[in-house]
Amino acid sequence: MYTILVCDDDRDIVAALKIYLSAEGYEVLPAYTGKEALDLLDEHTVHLALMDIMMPVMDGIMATAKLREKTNIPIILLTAKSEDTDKVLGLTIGADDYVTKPFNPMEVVARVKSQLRRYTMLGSLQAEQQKKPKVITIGGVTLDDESKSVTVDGDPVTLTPTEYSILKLLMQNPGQVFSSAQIYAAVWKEDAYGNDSTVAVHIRHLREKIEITPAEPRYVKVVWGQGYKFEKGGAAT
Amino acid sequence: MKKRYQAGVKLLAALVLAVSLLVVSFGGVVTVYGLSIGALSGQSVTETGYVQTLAMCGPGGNGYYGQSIADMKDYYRYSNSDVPYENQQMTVLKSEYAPQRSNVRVRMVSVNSNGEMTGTLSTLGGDWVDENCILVSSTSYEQSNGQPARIDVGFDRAFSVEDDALGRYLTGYRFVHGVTSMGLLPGAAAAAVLSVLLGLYLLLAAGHRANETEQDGIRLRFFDRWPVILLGVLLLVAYCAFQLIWEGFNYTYTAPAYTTVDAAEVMVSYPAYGIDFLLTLTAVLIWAFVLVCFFVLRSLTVRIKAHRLWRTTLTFYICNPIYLFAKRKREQYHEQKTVQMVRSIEQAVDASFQETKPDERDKDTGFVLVLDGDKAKETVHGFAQKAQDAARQVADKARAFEWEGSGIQRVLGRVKSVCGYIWRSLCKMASSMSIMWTGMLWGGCIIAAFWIVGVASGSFEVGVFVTLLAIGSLVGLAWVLSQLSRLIEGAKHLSEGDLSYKIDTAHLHGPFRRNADMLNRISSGCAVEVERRMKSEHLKTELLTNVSHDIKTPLTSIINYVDLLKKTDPQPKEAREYADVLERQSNRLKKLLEDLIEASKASTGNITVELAPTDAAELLRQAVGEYSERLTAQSLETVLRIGGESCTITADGRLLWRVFDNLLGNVVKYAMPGTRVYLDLTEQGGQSSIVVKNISREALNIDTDELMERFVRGDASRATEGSGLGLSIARSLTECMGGRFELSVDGDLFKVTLRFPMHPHQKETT
Repeated sequence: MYTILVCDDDRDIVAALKIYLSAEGYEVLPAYTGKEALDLLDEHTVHLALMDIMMPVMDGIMATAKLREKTNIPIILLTAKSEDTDKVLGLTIGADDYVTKPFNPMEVVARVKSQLRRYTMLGSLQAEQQKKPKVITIGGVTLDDESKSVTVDGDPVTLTPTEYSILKLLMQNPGQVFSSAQIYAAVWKEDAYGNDSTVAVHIRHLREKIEITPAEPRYVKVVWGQGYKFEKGGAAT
Repeated sequence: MKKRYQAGVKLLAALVLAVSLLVVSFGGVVTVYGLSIGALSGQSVTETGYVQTLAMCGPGGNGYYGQSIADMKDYYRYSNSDVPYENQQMTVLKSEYAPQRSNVRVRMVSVNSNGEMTGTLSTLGGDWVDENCILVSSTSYEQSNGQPARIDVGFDRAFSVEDDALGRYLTGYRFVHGVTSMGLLPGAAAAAVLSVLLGLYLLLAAGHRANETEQDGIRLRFFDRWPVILLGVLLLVAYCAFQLIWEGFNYTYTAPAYTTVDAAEVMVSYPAYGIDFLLTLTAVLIWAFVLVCFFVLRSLTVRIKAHRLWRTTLTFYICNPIYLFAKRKREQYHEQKTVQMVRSIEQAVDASFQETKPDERDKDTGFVLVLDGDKAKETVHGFAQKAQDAARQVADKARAFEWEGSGIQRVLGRVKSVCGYIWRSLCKMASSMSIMWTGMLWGGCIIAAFWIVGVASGSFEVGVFVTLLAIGSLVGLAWVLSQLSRLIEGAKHLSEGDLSYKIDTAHLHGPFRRNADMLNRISSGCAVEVERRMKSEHLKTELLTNVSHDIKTPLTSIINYVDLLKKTDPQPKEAREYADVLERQSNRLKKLLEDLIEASKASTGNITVELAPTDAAELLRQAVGEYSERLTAQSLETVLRIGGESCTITADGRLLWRVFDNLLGNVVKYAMPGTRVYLDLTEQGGQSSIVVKNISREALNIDTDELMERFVRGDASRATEGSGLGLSIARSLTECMGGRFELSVDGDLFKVTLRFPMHPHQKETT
């Protein structure tokens, strides 16, 4: 049983989130200003915080900064602001993930689950990785080359052999950008035919399987006009 | 308006011009002659005037007066070199200078302090009889005893001679005096002003018809079609004829200022005619010459107005046939070459057709007959390949053929290209040169020409004057040009949109300064206006973004609670349907809101663009990959055609994806299911173009501009999802990246063309 702090000045949103999260079996602590959130944190054991940015008394950025001084729990920002600079500011100040309004409730729940798993399973995964050299773990994604299995935040994912090969190639070289032609050559072992978007289609499928929101991927990222890469360290942007 | 150019008015003006020119000529001739004989300088009709006139004319001569003049010259020479102070010296002079028979009288007299004669000291050439002698000149000097004295020189009238020249002089004098007293000179001055005005009017009116409309051209008379050279010859002939007679007259009657010929001699050489006749004749000659000049000037003016001056020059008559001949030859050559090429292509095509296997051809018609689809493709492909190869060979041959041209042609071609290069460089230099240098060059040339003419033709004084004038003009010109160039510089900045540029008025003066002030006011006015617009536009975007953010929060609640409503268990069937509608519409609202923010940001350029080399081919593949499911769901087939291996353009990959996101989103929404979508990538001339083509589901009977406008879509399409901002966003984003966005609708074919500059590095390598 995990406790989640939900902080938003709009009471209806807090209430709605409380319904969804309770349905998943989490205990929810509602707060309506940044100040309240910090007070609640002192009184209770909290495992994750959902934080709005634009709030009266103390805004979400400030609250996140203060919160980080005390604990290491995952913080997911909820905000109406969608500019890149706001996202970067939020993540720099110590947030782990970011959901823009208007959000899909299922997406928020999925992100909460993902963050909680990573928060709680981090230690055991590291130990596991040391034992098995053929296991690659980046962020929440774990690829076991012996059992040919992939898990995301602990949940097993079913991939086709092609998707698996592409993911393996990308995960073996995190941060490196591969063009479609390079991926084609490495996975299909033959030269790419110029007008083919096969690789792009496979990557799209792969993203749908391992990402919460495929349009805004956390792991398998599209570098437009260059190629694809697996985000180094699996940053949650 | 054009009534002033009526033929009657013009004829009348021409007649009045002729008459007034005649008056001017006559007045001018009379004036020059009158001045030369002193008839206009207020002297009375005396022999003194005549004698003085003759005395100025130098030595020599016939008759008695001629003798007297020679004597006087001799005397003056003596007295200048050795001034006779005393009686003794006068005696010496007497002994050395002893004219045999002369009417010249010289006396030396003593004078008092008032200049009055007190007594005669000595005489020469005979006694000085006061009532007979005419005093010509007197020289003051001092005697050895300090007393003032004077030497007088004069003529003795009693020493009478028969002199025809004197008679003629008096006739001329009376004639000039008579006509000038009739008001000739003021009349001539008035006529001169009238002539100038009429001449200008006639030049302006030349070539215009009486009742022409604005579109009518300049009418050329038959003599306006004569070669220019003919006009030149006419002018030359008129000038020579005039010069002959004018010089003769000049030589005889008005020469004293320039010639040293004895006037007395000349007087005798026109015995048969009166001076009045000669003056009138000269005036008529000048008049005729001026009329011819005016005629030539008028004809030239008409030609310039009709832009026919060049076409009537001798150079044109000579060069044009040569040019036409060369042109015809060239055309013939090219035609021949083209025919040869076409024939070769035909042959090549025939040959490649022959090469096609007989079993693939129809026996009767000889055409390629293939039943199997793949085979057909292969055959046609092979055939096309062969034809292409043949065409290339022919093109190579044609190139070689061109080089096989004669040596002269090659040399001529080379000369032409070199000349063209020089000419282009000169033009480029001239156009890049500032007004300062161009102006100084032209002005300097003109001033230098005037200076040379002035110095070459004038006396020393004229030379100095002309030189000073030239220097002054150059300095003035430089000043005016420097002022002007400042103004031009300012105007240039203004026209290029640099509103912050201000012309420095510290060194500008007068009208230039006023002009600069006006320009500065325009630029500051514009700058303020632009600033205001920018601010207002920015505020608008800001407002839109903020309002959108504020809308987002309630929208989040709506979406969440609609979802919860759907999950609430016991409810009537209708309620579920209503919840579905709510969900659909709130999602649509969400999409609209996002598009609205993006459109407002993109259209105001309020977006960060990071231009970098981007592989357009890769991006196209990625975009098609992203959309493959959605396209397949609409049973749309994608045809991706990429010219060349890779195509690196300068763009922001992330924004370019947003462009394609919108374009492909549109395709999914509006394309006719079951058709093909074409994406072509081509590069040409440092530009890469991406074309997206699809067949619209609905009839596209609206023009492209309307299509582009926000929220304007075919009514039938309104039911489908989306905001209709897609195209607008795509265009704004493309333009933010420095690309061009073109939209065209041809029937139901919907076509978007994106043009981006190639990345410079790529350009070098290709």
